[in-house]
Amino acid sequence: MPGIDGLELVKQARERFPLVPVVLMTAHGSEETAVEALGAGAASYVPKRRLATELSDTIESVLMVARGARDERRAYELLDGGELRHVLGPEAADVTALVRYFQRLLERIAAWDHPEVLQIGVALREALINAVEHGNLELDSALKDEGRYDELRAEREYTPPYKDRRVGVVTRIGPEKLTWVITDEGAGFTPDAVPDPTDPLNLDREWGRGLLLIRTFMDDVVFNGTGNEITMTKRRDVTPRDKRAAR
Amino acid sequence: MKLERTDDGARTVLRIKGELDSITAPEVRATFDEVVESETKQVELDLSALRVIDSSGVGAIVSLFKRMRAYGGKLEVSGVSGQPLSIFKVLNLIKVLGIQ
Repeated sequence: MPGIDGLELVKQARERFPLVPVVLMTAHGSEETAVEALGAGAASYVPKRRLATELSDTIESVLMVARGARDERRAYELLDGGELRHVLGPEAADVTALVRYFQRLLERIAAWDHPEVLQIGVALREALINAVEHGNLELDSALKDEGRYDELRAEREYTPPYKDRRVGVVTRIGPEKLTWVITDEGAGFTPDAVPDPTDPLNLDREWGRGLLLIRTFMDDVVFNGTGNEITMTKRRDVTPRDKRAAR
Repeated sequence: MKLERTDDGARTVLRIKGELDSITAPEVRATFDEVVESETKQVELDLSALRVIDSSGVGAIVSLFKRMRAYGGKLEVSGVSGQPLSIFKVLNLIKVLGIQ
């Protein structure tokens, strides 16, 4: 393959044809490449010397998983509506877990392509971090300039009243759109007062970019009057995925 | 997230792999602080293996850029593609950080 190695091929195949599982054939001593390829999205690998004995079983198990994924997507097409409710504490690991959960859900139901799922994940993460850290833990971003943000975050995670506050996340799943309503128990803020981070005067500031990323990657973003609740909507491209890829 | 550091005289290469977000940004910040404290003149930040970045990750990189600029150091950001590239574009930071 001129100009491209096996690892890059796996990455590109996963991006361009996410429904096609990739099985890697590895030469002796290339176990590290195989691990990297799995990380890049390959479904499995077979060592070259065991090709004759293992390829058939490997393909069969990979196809079984792929069929299961197809069934999940088909079931989503039949979905008329649903609602999920999550409650988060102050731990940062909760945010990561929930964002990954939603990204996996979006990948499984194939509502959006992989790059877009990553961006939706960023918007969700920014909104959740805002709710937990700026809302419930009352941390001012300007503390980052003084290098005190992380230290104070760790302290407030275990200090009342901050530690007892919760963030509610309601996710409404519909056939044409997903909506997330994220509510914290802080005092709220004024979204219109957040300075534009793309203004030349603000470009080298360390903070203040989260809201712009949320507005960029979601289709609709609305705050309540207090500023402690954000409603974000992402509309679904209802064109079947194979036709989307062909466009 | 994984951060690899290679020092070659006055030049340091920092390679970030994986996800640079609000969880992992404090980890890279510690290495960035060392670079600034030693007033390293030239730093290449290799982001070719960076898969995802959020505003906290961007903030950490902008902070490094700003602090290096204050003592006359030069930060070169290389290998940016995919999701991180689109984030830097949205945030109007391509030119500021000299991203190719």
